[in-house]
Amino acid sequence: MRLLNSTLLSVTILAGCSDRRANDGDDLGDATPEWSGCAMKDEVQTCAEVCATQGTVCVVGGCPARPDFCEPDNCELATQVLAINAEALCADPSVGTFVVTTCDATIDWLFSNTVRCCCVDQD
Amino acid sequence: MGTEYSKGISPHDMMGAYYAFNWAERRVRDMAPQTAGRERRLWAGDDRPGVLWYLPFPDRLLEWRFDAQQPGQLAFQSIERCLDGESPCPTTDSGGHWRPIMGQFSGSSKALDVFMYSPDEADDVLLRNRSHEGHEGFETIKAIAPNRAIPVVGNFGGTGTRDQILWYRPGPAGEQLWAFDESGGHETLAVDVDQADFRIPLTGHFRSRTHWTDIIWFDPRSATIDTWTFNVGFTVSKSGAGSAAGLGVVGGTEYLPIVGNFDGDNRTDIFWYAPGTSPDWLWLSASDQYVINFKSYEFAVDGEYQPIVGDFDGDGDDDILWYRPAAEMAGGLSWLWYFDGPSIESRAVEVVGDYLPYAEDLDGDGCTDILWYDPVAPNNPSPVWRCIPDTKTFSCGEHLATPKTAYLIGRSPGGY
Repeated sequence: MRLLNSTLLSVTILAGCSDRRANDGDDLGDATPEWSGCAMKDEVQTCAEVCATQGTVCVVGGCPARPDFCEPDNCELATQVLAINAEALCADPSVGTFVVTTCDATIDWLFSNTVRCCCVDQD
Repeated sequence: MGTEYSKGISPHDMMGAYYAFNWAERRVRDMAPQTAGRERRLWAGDDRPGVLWYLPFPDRLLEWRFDAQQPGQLAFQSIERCLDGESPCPTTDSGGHWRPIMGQFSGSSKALDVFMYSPDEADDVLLRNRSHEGHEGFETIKAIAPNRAIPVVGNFGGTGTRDQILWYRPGPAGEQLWAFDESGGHETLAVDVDQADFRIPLTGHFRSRTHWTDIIWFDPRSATIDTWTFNVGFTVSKSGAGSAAGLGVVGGTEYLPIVGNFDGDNRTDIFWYAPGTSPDWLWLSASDQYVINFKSYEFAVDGEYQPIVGDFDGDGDDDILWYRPAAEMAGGLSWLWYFDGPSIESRAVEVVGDYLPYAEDLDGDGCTDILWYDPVAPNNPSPVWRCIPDTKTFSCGEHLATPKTAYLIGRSPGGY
């Protein structure tokens, strides 16, 4: 028996946490990204969709996360926050599990049924 | 099943397969958070460890009651415990219908109860354990459970620390969840396991042992999982089915999910053992109150083993004994894996003989011992390995005279 190299399964990181850019790559300027309202599984597939349906633009890794519950490990800004308890997540975006990924990445719903995405006003 | 003319298997066949191939030792640590005292099978109503035997055709239970701490040679009281009232025992199961399910159903004490479930039309009974009140016999409470169901036991909600039973029937939705009260009566609630395909229910305190029991429904054919967490009033939050491939667990591979607290953080982890050469995966819980999530680590357990979970070094987290029966015949070694987070220390051991291993801290030293039960040996002397804390070794000289052809309640290679 042998122990293989440990593998952290997570999303592919396509963008750094600190380079805040909107979905179309435009610089965000001074606008402050915020966690969107809730969206449920079966309603959306990407954060780009979530933000668009709420009249905003998705931001990659632009909203505050809990490092202990952020993938990849210890990130402080995230693109998505997911949970299975919709009531709790909709009331407080700090209670989910956070993911840094692209805005067009398909949301991985494993263990979750509710998402909030990092979005910014278009204006 | 087993014929080339079969085009598929029915839900009932699947249930049979579940019973046949389900894993061992998965229940004791994952019922009520404080069940029966610190994750142990305690039958006496206090801290004294024990073993409860079901003798199916005499139809009675036999409790071995050890002292709370026993540094010397193992000794125990042997107490006959009728299925109903005091000796001589009036209640019998002449048809051999019952299979015992363990849980803290009526709660309010450290003594576990037993539900004698008959998957067919015969009556079912709850055996309420009142040993904490000085009664040696069980109190029998008739309760007619759904037929041909898989009992899923856990502390899914309600007040106090108490286990409920979800009677899962593969096929169309429409399950019952039984919530017991202190007197052993129960309320029946409607719950829908709305999944067309057969699923294996993995119960655990994946978030923490201070939260109610969660269920991960695993579809072995597609390797999809649907996660349930319970809310106030036994309402359920469901994730819906999703592929587990991102965490390594893929379709087309047979897995034996092994449940334990392998990293000692008080959250239930899952080791996905794939017999043979397929990769195996350790999922360490990274969950919190509102989130279930795991970090996955790849392992390679090459070969066929019976996994047995226990704290075999007394360090507060669970370890795995990969038991390969009858080393003298099959020529294989067994392996002890001592976990330290996602790392392991591995030691080989040889087990000569074919046994039914039962892992429990029999001498109360905080380190899990193993009773190697031999149900058919002449005079039934079963060896005991006594774990020596902090040494990663066992003392192996003792034998205990075990009942013949009995059933160890809370330990079955075939399921609950």
